[in-house]
Amino acid sequence: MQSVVPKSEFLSAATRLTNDLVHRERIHTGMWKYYDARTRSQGFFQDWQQARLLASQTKKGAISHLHEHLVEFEQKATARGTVVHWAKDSEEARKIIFSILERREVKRIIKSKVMTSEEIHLNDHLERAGYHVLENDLGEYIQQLRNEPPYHFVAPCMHLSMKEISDLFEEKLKTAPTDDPEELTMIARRFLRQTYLTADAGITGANFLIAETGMISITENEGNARLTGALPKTMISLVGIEKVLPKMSDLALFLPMLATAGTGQPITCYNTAYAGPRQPGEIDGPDEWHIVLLDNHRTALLADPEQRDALHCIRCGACLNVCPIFKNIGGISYGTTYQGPIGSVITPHLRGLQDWKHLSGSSSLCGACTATCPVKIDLHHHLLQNRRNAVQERPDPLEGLAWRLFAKSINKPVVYQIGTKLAKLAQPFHRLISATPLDPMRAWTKTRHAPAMAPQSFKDWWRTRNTGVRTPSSAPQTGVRTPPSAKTKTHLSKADEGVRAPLQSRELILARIEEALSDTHPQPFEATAAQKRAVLPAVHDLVPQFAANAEFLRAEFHACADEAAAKAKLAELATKHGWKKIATHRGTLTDALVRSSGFSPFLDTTDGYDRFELEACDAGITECDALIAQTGSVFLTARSGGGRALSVLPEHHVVLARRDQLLADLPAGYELIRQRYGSQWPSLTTLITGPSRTGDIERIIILGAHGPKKLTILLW
Amino acid sequence: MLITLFIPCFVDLISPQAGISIVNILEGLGHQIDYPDELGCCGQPPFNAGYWDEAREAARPVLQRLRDSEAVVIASGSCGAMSKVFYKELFHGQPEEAEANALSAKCWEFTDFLVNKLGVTDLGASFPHKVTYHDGCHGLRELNLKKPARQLLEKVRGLQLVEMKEAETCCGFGGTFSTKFPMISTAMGEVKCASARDTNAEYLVSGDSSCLMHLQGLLTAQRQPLKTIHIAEVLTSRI
Repeated sequence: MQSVVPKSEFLSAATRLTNDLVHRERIHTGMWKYYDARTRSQGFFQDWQQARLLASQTKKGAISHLHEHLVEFEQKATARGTVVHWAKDSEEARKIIFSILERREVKRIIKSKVMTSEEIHLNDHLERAGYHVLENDLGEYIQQLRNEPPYHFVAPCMHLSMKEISDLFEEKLKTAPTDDPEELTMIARRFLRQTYLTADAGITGANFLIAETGMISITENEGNARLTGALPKTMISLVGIEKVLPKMSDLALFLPMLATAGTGQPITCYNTAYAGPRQPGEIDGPDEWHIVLLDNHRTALLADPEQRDALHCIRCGACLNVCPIFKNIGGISYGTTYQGPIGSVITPHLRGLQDWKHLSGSSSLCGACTATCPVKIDLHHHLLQNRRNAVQERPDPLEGLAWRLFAKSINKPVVYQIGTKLAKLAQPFHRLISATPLDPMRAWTKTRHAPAMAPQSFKDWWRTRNTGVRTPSSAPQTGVRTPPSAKTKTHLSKADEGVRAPLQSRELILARIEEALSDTHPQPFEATAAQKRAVLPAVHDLVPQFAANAEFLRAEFHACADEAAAKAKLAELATKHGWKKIATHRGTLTDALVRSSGFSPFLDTTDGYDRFELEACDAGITECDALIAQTGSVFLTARSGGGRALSVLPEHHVVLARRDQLLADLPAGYELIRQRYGSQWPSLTTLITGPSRTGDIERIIILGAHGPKKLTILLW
Repeated sequence: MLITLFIPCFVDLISPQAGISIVNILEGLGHQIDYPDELGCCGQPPFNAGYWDEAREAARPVLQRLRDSEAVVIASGSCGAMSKVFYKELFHGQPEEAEANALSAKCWEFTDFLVNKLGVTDLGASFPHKVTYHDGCHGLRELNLKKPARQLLEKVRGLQLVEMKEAETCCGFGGTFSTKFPMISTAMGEVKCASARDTNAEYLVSGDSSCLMHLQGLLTAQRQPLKTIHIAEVLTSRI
């Protein structure tokens, strides 16, 4: 029977992995490191619990107005030349992507981390069709070399040791073995660098769709998604429809929360918002940008009022990281795109309840997931609801009978008494066969001693005691049996879809959303800047706090007395790092520091550049829009930062900023750029914190995974 | 106060001493105990298995019998969560919904009742041993009971509480989960036992007999000297 397969595979993988003590130890160690980092980052927030509440209210508002948000998103994105596609299922999504690739005559594709593409098995189909597809997130790249799906949807190769990765590289890339994680990262960097420069198309996912501006926001540490969005001529982003946030300013709350919950960082290295392909006057970026909005059963989940909040998920992975089931069976056992508690909740909705209900059963319902979820999804209660729904849909005859007998007898004193007497009588006999293949309780006794029944039960003790107040027992209610609570099913049936066949997928998805949400009319919710400020990390003293936060994430920061001092510092950096050639764009600050200093030779990227020449430069020097003291971040756009690639392709990124550009916090940063660009957004806005980094190899932080190895900020 | 005591099946049959200790403590504080000895189970097992009709059938006598009680004390965080939190979900939209809500409001897990209802933390107990405490998941996360047990243990003479790293991690019992997915349940229990052992405690204390039954089963099978004990038994200990 086909439906048995996922469960039997799950059971055999879980048996194998729970017996692999080395594996269990590695995952536990990794997760404790995560736990310590996350606890520290949560501590930076003034009120983490209130932040969770704000985030969940924002997401609830967004999801309950999904229809309007998606239409607004489409309109805003289209206005800037982005092509928005709607895919009702995997097949349609693949078809859309294939037709773009064919029309653009694409041969070589690079992909930054895209979980939705795992969901639609895109790589398999692309490779079978003869495309050359390369994953460029370090962890995904390693898993691709292993021909294995991601182990954890945030940390794809967390189950591998350094030695296993070294052996893999030795076998596949013919490199010398090493036990140095930096050397391993640099092997991947050198190999992947070339592919960014030569790929025809880049495929990305997105963490958020910003309805108000028609942007997608991508969070990453390595810089691979930034390079993917900067260099190939065609960019395709495959995004689930539930990723919507109403306002760009919502990012001020969600970005630090995603980082904290996801990896335990105060903020992730690159948080980039894309607003279209290359815009008029811009020097780089793709000519064409396609966004594929993916339904693929999300509207069915939306139609379930009990579990709709599972669509609030921001895929931080926190629920996996705290889950004792995940920590003991690992990510591979699940056999799903999304592992851990969120995967166990949503996979039955995405891929069929009967085939995947065992994942909801395989939980002790400890609730650690729900307690940690930054958007307050009621995860473990949803596991219970999935169990109930599975039974209502197709009860197991034997188990159902057992529970009926249980229900009828457990609170009937006579039956209870006879049952316990029999059990007590059977106990000595059971001891003879305990843990043997004859033992009906072997599932317990194989590893655990059977609990002994007490010689005198509490009830016996109470009855013989003859004290205390006895009230006459009342007969149990002979029960008005009520029909099982009907699961609201407003999702369009297949027949309906047949009737409405002429509908295009866009209209079909929007109609599904409208029907799914017909039971609810909540008010939209927008967290104010003041509400966000009250929960986000406090800011008191701008310069010292910026310095501390930037240096914490390994950026180098120099507060210079004046322009002359900044100029001297830049010259000192050039000598210290032995820069042979630098690249910069024209601007007031770069003119003052670079042009007038006689740096020679330098590459001026203002009117465009040769990507190979830019890649060979030792440093890219840019201006920015603002510095954010709260997180130690640099806010720059394609306009202020000289395009998409200058700040990410050279090995060293140097940012020049004036003191009045230093702002207190993220809400202030988003307010500034909205005022500055609100009517004409540059195609890229990015929040950079520290140099490019990865923790994909045994959670050891290595700088310069793909983007700059160094980030220096000069302020005067 | 007339306190209705709910004794779950596994306390009744496997660790009655926990129930007896609770009776002694509450009576010692001058309260009267009403024990409905016809009740054996709150209905959680079929509820967790997805058989909610059957769970309702098992739970109805409980609702009915406890309808007129002034306060209900439950000798387990897990059954406490069932009665206090999950009945509301189980009976949502059912004729008994109001009754389930009323029961929820007057249900107390034992340590919560002592500390937060009666305002008692010092019971004059002495237990000169090094112990570590296991937070049962339902008590910890459904009922938010991190503190009461520790406030009680703090006042026990001679007792040294050493917190284990995995104090808040599930022991792996999870009811029928322990036999439907025994390999995962066992692995989780092993993690818990190892963490408890790392504290060099003599006793592993908890407010949940079901977790302790699971952990004791593992400890005995592995011939570990660490012993499990219900917090009520610690609180009735005297030298």
